[in-house]
Amino acid sequence: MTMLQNGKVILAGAGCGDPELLTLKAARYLQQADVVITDRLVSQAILDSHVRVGIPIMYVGKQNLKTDSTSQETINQLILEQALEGKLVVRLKGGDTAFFSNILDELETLVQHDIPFEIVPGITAASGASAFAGIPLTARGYSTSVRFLTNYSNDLPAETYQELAKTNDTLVFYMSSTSLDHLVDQLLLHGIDSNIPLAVIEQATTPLQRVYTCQLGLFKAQLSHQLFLSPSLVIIGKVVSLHHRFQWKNSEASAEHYFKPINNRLESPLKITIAYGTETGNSKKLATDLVAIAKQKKLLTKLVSLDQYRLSDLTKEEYFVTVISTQGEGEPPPAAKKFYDHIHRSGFQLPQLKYSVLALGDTSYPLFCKAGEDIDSQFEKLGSNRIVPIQKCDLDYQTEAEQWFNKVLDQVFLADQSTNVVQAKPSEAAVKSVAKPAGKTIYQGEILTHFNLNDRGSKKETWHIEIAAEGLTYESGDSIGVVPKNDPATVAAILSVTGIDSATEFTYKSLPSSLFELLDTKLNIANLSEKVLERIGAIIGQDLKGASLDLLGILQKFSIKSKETLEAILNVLIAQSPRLYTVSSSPAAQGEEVHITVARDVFWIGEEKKYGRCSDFLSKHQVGDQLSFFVQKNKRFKLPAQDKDVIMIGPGTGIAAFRGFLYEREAVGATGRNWLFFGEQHFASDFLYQTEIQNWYATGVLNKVDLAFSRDQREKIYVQHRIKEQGAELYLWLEGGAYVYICGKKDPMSTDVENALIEVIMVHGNKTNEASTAYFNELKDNHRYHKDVY
Amino acid sequence: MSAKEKLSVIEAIKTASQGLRGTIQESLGDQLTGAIREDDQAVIKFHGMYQQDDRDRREERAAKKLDRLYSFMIRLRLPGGFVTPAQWLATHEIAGEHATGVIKITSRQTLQLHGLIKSHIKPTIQAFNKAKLDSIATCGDINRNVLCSSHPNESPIHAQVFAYADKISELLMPKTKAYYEIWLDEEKILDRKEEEDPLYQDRYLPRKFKIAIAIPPNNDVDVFANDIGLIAIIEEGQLLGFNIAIGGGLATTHGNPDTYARLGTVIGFIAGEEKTLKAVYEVLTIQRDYGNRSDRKMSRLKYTVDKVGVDWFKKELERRIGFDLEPAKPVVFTKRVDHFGWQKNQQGLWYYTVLVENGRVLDEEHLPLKTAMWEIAKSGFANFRFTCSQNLILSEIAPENKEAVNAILEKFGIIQHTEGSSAIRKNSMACVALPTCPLALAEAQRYLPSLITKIEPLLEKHQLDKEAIVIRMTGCPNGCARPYVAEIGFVGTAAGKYNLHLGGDRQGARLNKIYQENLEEAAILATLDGLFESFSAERVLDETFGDFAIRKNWVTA
Repeated sequence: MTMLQNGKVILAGAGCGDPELLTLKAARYLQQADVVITDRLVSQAILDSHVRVGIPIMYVGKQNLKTDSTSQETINQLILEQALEGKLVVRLKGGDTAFFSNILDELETLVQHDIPFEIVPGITAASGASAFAGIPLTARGYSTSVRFLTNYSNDLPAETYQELAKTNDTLVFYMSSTSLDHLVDQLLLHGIDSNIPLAVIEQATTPLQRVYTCQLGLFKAQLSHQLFLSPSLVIIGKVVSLHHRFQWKNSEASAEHYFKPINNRLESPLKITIAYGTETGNSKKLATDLVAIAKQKKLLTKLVSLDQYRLSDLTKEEYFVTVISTQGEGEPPPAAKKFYDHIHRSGFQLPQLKYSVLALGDTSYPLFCKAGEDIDSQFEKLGSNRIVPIQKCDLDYQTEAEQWFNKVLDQVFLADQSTNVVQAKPSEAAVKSVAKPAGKTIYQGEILTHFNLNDRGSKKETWHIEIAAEGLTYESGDSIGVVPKNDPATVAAILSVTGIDSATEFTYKSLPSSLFELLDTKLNIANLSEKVLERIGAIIGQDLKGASLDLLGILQKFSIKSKETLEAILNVLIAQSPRLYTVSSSPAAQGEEVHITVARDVFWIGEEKKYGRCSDFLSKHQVGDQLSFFVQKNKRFKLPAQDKDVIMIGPGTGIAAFRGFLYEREAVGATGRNWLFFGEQHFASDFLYQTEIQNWYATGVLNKVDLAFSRDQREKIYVQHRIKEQGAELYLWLEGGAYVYICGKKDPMSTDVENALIEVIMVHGNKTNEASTAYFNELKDNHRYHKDVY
Repeated sequence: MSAKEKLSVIEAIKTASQGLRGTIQESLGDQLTGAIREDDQAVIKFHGMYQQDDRDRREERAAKKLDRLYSFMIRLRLPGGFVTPAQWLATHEIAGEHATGVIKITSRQTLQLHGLIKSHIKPTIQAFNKAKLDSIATCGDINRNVLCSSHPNESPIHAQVFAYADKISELLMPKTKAYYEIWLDEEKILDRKEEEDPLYQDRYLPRKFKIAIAIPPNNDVDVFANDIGLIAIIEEGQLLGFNIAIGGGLATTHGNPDTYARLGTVIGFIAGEEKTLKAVYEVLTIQRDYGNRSDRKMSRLKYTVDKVGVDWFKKELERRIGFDLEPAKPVVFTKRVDHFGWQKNQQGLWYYTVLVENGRVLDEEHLPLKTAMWEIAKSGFANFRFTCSQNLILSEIAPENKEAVNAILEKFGIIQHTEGSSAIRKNSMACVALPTCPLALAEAQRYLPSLITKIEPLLEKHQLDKEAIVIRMTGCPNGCARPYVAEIGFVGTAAGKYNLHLGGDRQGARLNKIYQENLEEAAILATLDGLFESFSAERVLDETFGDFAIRKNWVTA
């Protein structure tokens, strides 16, 4: 390492794309650098070919100005820290060092701390783009001057537009392609000659460079729909017309990005879990606010109450923030007790975990913030890495907490970037995983979680089951198929009644099977239909009409012990068919886990209470049990593009699909709005996934939620009533292109909901019945209406 | 403004509440949660409700991904504790349809229902309204339900005294129409001037305010435990007026030595309705103007009185009412009892006082009390009155209907339960506490009956089973069941642990003191066993247990 007493900082421009546009001086410094701090808009090839192996490269890029990933203050701090360690720091910036950059802040920091520095210029985009597009900026006879400007935030004053409209100078706009509509409008409004041409040069000087041109007057018709890839540069002036004569580089028609988003963020977004332990609700409120901050910075977040946190997930977490209050005697709130005890148990380590703790308390108690302190020091003992020191807050916590959290996020970004680049891999296009062939894979899953979502006193029993299976692939909206096994006690009783060995080979519908296989999984031996009873009756010469007997009952009653008779009986039984359950999870959030939401079906045969076979089978499982299943694709029930609005109507277990959808939308950071309609019998006992839905609403994943609890008042209220109540807004969403999904019971729910939707379109779209039905059918034709009903 | 004088958070909520409206409407519209918004939790108290959640169920529900089981308690305004049979029937129906089904008689002579979920509040209040019942100002920083000696047989002029409870309640009602607007869908007040409130202004009182009227010699209302106590002075069948006592209040805070229980101080005598009402009103205005609004633990009238001094307070009161108080009349309380069983008044009407353990009217396997009361209400033969010890008086029963009522009481075992219960059970009382009360540190009404069952044999062992010792239990130091004026008081400090208080007198005129702290059940029983043994052996004739405790210096008076 080149050790200098106080280090030195080289502020160098890397040029605007083509790696060969780097200056020799910059290249030499890069070869000598002890550390490189770089922007996003720097060609990866420059880093690959000039920086020595093993030298840390830190990405502090700003993706765009609204969502800066790293604050300027943090960048200054980082440069300073590295320099003070005596290192030669190369601070590499896209283009030149000075045009529309924050070099001034960095220079001031260096001067303040007496750090020696040099500035190495780079080829700025205006030079690079105009050269590579064949547009000489001040071509004789066309223009005598050129101006470099930016209009990224649309806030130029009217006088400026007026002046720009009149000038003969060539105008070069940086960072303005997204506000181009406005810019062109304003120039035209202020009287610019509409024949003057404009050029937009995408990804200038890179192999993916593309040039668009048109006259200002035709911009609206020809280019205003175009979304330009970043970075792009705008040139306005007569010189643009020279492009057609002197262009020497082909325009690429590609939508690929040359500069990859930091850390391939779009492919693998940075996730942070914010877990809270609350008694009075303050920690929860605060945690929700922190989620909002993280979202603004484009992080994916998971908000979870510690009493609902699956403790085994700790080993899978990377960034984990705990917000926790302390009770009077220094103990954690009851809701955090399990978590607190869990991490204080010995025998495991969490070395992958990067954590920070925000502790709430009251200074008037002696053990101020004790619970938070305990957790902070315990994570350290478990080998986890502290992101920033614990922040302890008294009763007025808001400002302190937010400042602290911003520090956490800055460190998260930095840590993420530096670790990723040191082990840099060449930036390759996203590798699409190859879809599995259509044949159904049978997965052997293990049940991780298994509980009844309904509270005591409910008439319903709805089981939430989480199953992990290695190599599992599926998508939200799919189903899994499960074949129920028969009750083992019944199977054993049948074997003992007949006295036939379980391994004996039987033929069922001309295929060989062991008796055990047939009884255990292959045949339906409970709830026998009238027809089946009749056929068995014919075999054994008895009248079984109306008998409420299952197979065991029949074998017992008529003491059947002959293999031949049994084989004949088995052959009239119906084969077990798999039951399908819509998944209530998303692989984007749950990985190789699938969740299902199973209502235990209850029905009556006469006076006898019976349970649906498969739902009963699933409800009786326990954590740790094995379960085999397959994935049933449902191509017709998939989420639309991320920026589309989605309306989800899912009463009862219909919520399953939408829990999966919402996890998916949250995990990928979808920008479209989400609206959920849910209904059940009682608010207090049947609000399935209530706390998850509350958190999605609090963190803005869900924009609207409407609930219908049918039995909480004298008159029954169902989702279709809520749909009608919300008709005006719902129609607006439809007009705005929203996609509609229905999941749940086919009858009468889906019919009632469809009628309600047609009524809404009729009333709020001011349409006749026919026109409204046509509008609805059009939704279907355009794949904006999807049903998964059963 | 120094930190000390900074107004408490609740003060800002009150003033900003737009006449106690807050954002209750919006809170009711929040579909995702059974809770209302934080500030509204303070505002809704003035409408007679508390938000609670079932603390026993938090963990289990969280595991089911369900939010806390939020529900609301609603308390009626029943000055003097009286409802008609039709009103009882309505309450019975409402309890079944919207609440847990249990009708709770409170230690302040009113009825409350628990477990209303948010969407049931409005239908409940509307149904009560149909029965001419309301819950205005039964909680919150305002005058609460006004108490009055409950048994009409206390005096031939009971009705005349009883009428004061209603008059005082009306006089001290808030002027805002928010209750009608929010719950009964009445038209919105456009000009808030219409509901200008010269008494409460927009800040209400610094803290809750309690008033009781007693008819000596029975102190069944615990008159000295109230902010204002009015003691009826009756001579030769004429109501002369009232002695007025101020600054009673029992709530304390564990570990805060600045807080204390205090009995009301009698400051004089007032004759006539107009003057009495005026004096009551102006005590409230002084408390409004001088009460502590920064520390809610120090804001009851008792602290205000001690802060400014009784003399100053009296002078200020006389200045505000424009006349001098007369010297207090001599008066003696000799008892603090409910008259269980049958009683007849001078007009020949019959009364039956039913023992309701901890005030909970419900159907239990061996005691279908709720059904019995329903049948009696259906007959229309009796009115319903409630005592401050949470018992129920079937009242104004015509002689020709007495047999029918008696038959129903017999049929459901009510007579056996009332008259067969031990003296201490009849004189015991507990607050609600766990699982719904957010302040509770320990059990109370769910636990006291079983503790009594274990105390009874100890008394028998020492031949004390006829002693009507007053035993009271609360789950926290706030004192809802008035444990500080019991002969044996249990004040919860933590799960299963209680401070044992001794030395209160039987009439409720002397506070008890802590004898031992943080006792668990075994220690409680062992301690009481020893105390009873000593009491049985050494008491002088008719000496009460409370007085004996003082004489023996177990605690100092």
